[in-house]
Amino acid sequence: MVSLVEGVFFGTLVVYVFVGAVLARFIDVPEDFYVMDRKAGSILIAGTLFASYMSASTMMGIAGIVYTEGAAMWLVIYGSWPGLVIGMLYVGRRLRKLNNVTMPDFIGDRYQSELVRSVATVIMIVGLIGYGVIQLIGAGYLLADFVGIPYQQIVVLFAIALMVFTVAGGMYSVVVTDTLMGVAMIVTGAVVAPAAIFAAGGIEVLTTTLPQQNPGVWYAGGANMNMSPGWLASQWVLWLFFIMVAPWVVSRAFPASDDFELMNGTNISTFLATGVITVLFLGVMATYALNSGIEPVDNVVVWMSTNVVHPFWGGLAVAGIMAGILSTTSTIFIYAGFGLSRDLVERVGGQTLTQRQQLLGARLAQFAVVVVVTVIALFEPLGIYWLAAWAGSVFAVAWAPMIIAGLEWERANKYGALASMIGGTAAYVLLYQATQAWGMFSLPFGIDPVLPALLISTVLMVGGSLATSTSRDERAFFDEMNDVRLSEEVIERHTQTELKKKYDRTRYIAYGTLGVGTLLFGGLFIAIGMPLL
Amino acid sequence: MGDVSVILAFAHPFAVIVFSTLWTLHILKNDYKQAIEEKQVVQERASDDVAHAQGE
Repeated sequence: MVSLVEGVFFGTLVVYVFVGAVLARFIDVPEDFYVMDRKAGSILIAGTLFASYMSASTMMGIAGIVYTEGAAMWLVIYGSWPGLVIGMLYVGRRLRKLNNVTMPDFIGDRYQSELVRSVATVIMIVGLIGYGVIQLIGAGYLLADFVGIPYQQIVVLFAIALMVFTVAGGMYSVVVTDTLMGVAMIVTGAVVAPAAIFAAGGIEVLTTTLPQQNPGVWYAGGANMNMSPGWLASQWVLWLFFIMVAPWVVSRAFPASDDFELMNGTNISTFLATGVITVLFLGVMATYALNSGIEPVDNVVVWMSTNVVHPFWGGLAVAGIMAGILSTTSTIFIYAGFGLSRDLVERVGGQTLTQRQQLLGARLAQFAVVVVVTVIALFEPLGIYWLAAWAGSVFAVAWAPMIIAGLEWERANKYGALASMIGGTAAYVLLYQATQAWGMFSLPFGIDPVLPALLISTVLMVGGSLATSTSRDERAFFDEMNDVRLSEEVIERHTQTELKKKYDRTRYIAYGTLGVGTLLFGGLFIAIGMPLL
Repeated sequence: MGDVSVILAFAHPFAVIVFSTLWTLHILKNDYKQAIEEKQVVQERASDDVAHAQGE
């Protein structure tokens, strides 16, 4: 007999798959598949950005740490929030004006080198698969526990759902289903978390009960871990640089129908990401007072969903956790597939394909990625955990200095880019292994290996470019890129009245999210922060 | 450290919303405000020219 919670959960999954399949009808040309023919408005951009940003890390791994360590740690070190804003308003906007379809499009063109494009794409595919597989494994275990279906069957079920989202519907399906999934995630933060706080005794549980049991729950270093300021600072930097170049965040700028929609989507999703996660973490923290023995701790949000709210909301909330995993995974897989078909076969391989062949190639690549990832998730090789641990940091050290230099510095060249990507990655992996795995030495102030690796990657980018010559083509592309203003195309396309309307709407949304944000965080600070000071 | 952590816990996410808003307003002012005003002047001139030509 299926319970109401399971019924709502499976019903939601069926809706996602159905919507994803229906949207496959809109795919005629590769532009539809890769960037939704650049037709997405503010709500879709906000929905897909928010849903892709929320992941198994937030809803399970980090929620588990918050449960035992208190909310302050992750509210302080979550550098991925500013990373989201910079990724969209700086990197995404700059790449979008060049009509890029994928990030390696820009990287190869900027450095006028197919070798640079290949290295960047390989790093991207390996990093994406590592990060994606771990999400799928997390989802498999979560749901195996929840619905009592064997882990292997859950993974295959998810693979089929992902196949529909990515192979059939491409970016159209991913953007629309992401937005639907975003609604389920809001339920998790806005309904289940407050319900947990009230079930635990109201705001007082956060301001009095828990701090009396352990004063450390409101220390950024954590209630039990006592992490050093150096570690906290390096985590903030890691998340900032990782998310600001993460392909599944930055590429959300590409389907936007214009610059105004991109800015609106960024502001709305920034409010959702900060608001929903803050309330969720406070709810998770309060749950410790309700039940301090949840095992494994990663399942704390599932426990909240099944124990503190009506089964209807509980089912939607678990669907929200699943959505966090599915949306991130589908987006990660779609970019790994794009990397294979568009970046490696078409651009590096120099294959001239018809539109029909490009579309077929993109779909075959998606199929291959889903199959490979499913097989890895089913067999769970030990190495995949290392890859997942490195994935975020590798993006930060290999891509961030190279992309920022490419956007800002005319002298930046392919030799610097190659040295930075390869040297930065090697430096991180070696430092990580030496300090965390082999215990050879420890870094001062408890800093994470990502900080020195980022520094090495930046020095290699600058040093490599200064020590070698920058080609005429590289300089020409840089000058051409800076001659184009993103606003020009938008201004040309619309009448003055339309522009004025869009301009005012964007201003109102920006002020609106600021106003609602002030009310939310001001209210939380008065209710929770002030009594603690 | 607890006091600072408590303040930062709420100030950090709020600061990100302020950051996003200010950046958007900066883009609007920098890239669009003047261009929209100029486009208005061009459109007014064009309609004046049409009216003038029809008058003749």
